[in-house]
Amino acid sequence: MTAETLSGWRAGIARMRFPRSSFLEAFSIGFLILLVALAVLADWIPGLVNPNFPYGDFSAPPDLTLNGLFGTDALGRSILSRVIYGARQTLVIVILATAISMTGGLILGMIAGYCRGMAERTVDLLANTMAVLPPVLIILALVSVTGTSVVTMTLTLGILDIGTYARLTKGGVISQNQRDYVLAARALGAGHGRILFREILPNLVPTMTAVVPPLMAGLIITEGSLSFLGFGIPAPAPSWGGMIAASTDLISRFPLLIFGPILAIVLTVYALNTTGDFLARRIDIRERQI
Amino acid sequence: MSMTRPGLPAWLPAASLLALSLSLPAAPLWAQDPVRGGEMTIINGSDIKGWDPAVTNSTYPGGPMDVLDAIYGFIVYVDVNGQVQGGMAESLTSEDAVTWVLKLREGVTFTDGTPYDAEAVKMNWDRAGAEGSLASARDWVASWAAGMEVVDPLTLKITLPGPNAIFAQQVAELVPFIASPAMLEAAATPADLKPVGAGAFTLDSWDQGIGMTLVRNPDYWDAERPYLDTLNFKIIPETNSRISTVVQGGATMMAGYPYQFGNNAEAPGVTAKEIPIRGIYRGYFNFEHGIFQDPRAREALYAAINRDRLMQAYTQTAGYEAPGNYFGEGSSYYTADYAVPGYDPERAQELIDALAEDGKPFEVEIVTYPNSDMKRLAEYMQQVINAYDGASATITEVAMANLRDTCSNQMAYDFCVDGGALVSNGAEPNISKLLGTGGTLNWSHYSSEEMDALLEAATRTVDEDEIRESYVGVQKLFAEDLPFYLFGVDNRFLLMRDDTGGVVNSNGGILQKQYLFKCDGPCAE
Repeated sequence: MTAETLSGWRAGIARMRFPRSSFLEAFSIGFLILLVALAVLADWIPGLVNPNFPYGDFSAPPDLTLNGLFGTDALGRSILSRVIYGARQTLVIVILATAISMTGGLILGMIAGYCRGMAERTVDLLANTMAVLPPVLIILALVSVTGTSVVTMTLTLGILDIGTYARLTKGGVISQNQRDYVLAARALGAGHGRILFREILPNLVPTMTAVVPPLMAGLIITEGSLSFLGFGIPAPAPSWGGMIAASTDLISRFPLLIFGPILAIVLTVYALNTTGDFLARRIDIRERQI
Repeated sequence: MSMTRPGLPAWLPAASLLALSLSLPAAPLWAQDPVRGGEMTIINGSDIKGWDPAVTNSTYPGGPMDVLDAIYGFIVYVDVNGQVQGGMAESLTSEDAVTWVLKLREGVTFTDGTPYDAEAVKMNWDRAGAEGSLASARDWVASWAAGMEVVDPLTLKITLPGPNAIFAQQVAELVPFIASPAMLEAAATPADLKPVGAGAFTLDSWDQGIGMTLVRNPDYWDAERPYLDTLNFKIIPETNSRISTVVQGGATMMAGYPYQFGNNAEAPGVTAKEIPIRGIYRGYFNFEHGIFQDPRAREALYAAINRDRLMQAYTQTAGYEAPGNYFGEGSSYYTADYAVPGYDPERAQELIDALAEDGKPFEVEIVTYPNSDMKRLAEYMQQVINAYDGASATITEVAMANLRDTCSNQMAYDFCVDGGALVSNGAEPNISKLLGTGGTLNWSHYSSEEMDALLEAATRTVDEDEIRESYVGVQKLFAEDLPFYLFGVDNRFLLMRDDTGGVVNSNGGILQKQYLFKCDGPCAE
């Protein structure tokens, strides 16, 4: 049985079957799983010290102990611990922001793609407007009024990406709307709600899944930039961008201070982009098969 | 490198004060004979706002008074040993600390050709003390301005309302610059003021906020000096950029601290020179609102934080020793009998618990500005305070330019940290500014009649034993009242090209530019 003979959620899931991956793709997926696991289970990692309390000397170089693997920061805190706890902060913000933008984008995109006409033009205008707003500047303006907070940053990052998801969803809906299984459902008397949520939406999932990782990578960079500029997660909570910012003036004396958080950002962004490419490639293969 | 700097000997031995005879200061000995000609560039962090000689600031090196000094010259100055020396004037002396006599040099003229005489000095000081003056020392000048009397063109007598043994130091710090009266009278607004002085250099060009070029004043009173033909000031706000510019040879020198220089002080062609003037790092307690009104809370903070480690966190350099009191061990006023509380975490927890029992939770808002060093300092304090049961700290960052207003005027803080070491070349005038009621540096708004009386007593006598007795009393009261948080001492340094000769510091470390010269080769002194 192939996906073309399926409809609804089963067809969507069938198109998500994972292909054989390259080493780098496997590494990327494995890294992301490890990162999430470390972030979630940080409190239970044996021997990992509190990220907000001194562990050793100030700006100590790396050693072969767990907490000293990346050395200590300028206040004697374990950089590894702060990278892991910083991942928790970053992932929470990025996942929640993605959930907000994806939910909003899916709803608007489905309405625009299914209803067309005025609804489509309105959503297009909204999406295009959001696309030209520079997220960092918008958030800087907001936090100057509301003060730095995780909630402000999460909400703003989420809202600013709604347009991107809406445009992608709209395209997907228009494409799926003329497929045989939709026409068949309509001929059988299915209502608009059933067609949208039971027939079309499940078939959008693979496409959306492929675009989520690179968009999340962009959010990580934006969040890191804001923390670097001092408008992100307030101290003393660890954040990757904040850790880089705190190290920049000391980089000539203690160059290794910056290594841990930069490595975390580079690897995470790389892994997300590679995973996104992998998913997109797989979906292309399945689409061609269909 | 020892990072604990002893304080200076007493700045004011009574005999030397009263018999102060200030002709030319003894010519310093250089590694090579001074060479005439050449050009140097000093990097400062910020530019001046205008040329008003009455608008002065602290006399630290690399500060805005650097430029005014080059144009106007100090009328008298305080040398690195704390002694008042003649500058543009020959001497400022007193027999009884009430009547002071300013003797001017013969033949000194401003660059517009008018004489630098007693009338000119009187006019400048009258202007500084007048209603509407922008001088930060306006009230102080106004308190004695009526007592000025021009005896002859080279002599100005000042009769103070009461004895003040540190009057000459105060003049050197607060109203040292004299501009041409003709220029001052012609200026309708502060923006019209022109740099017409009698100092070692004259203005050639000024690109505000970027830099300026000064050229040698051919009519400078000391015909041998200045040695340089051209002196440039370059404005670079960011510390690392200033350091890089010196290291790469784009400028001659900048002022800073060894922890900022790092290995750059050992770069080829570069050297670091210590300015032997003690400076103190301090944080202010809010005496008007919040937890630090309670003396137990102030003691708790001293006991809670290891100040050696705090300085290490701040500077990322080991080897600091926390100061015990306002005066360092090298000062003749120093006493080991009274010291602020040392690091004692158990005592800190006891005090925090006792405060909590009285309904005063140890919750501290630390206010500072978002400089990376200051943030590190505040974060270290925060993490240590948060480690105590029942204690917590938050950090509020305000723009550097707003810190004084937030802390000293609005009192919107529990604990406020200002950056940089406050240079206090001897006791006064900074000790009264810091500890006296209403003092301009007393951001804590600490007020003690006993302290005021002791400070005043120290300035009203010329008896060295009485002065010392007063300052011992000040230290006793400092250790009891804890008016501010004294967490470190340090000296400023100059990071400079190693062919820089003639480095003479005065007051709070400011350079005497007329002595600068360019050596033929490395001549680090």
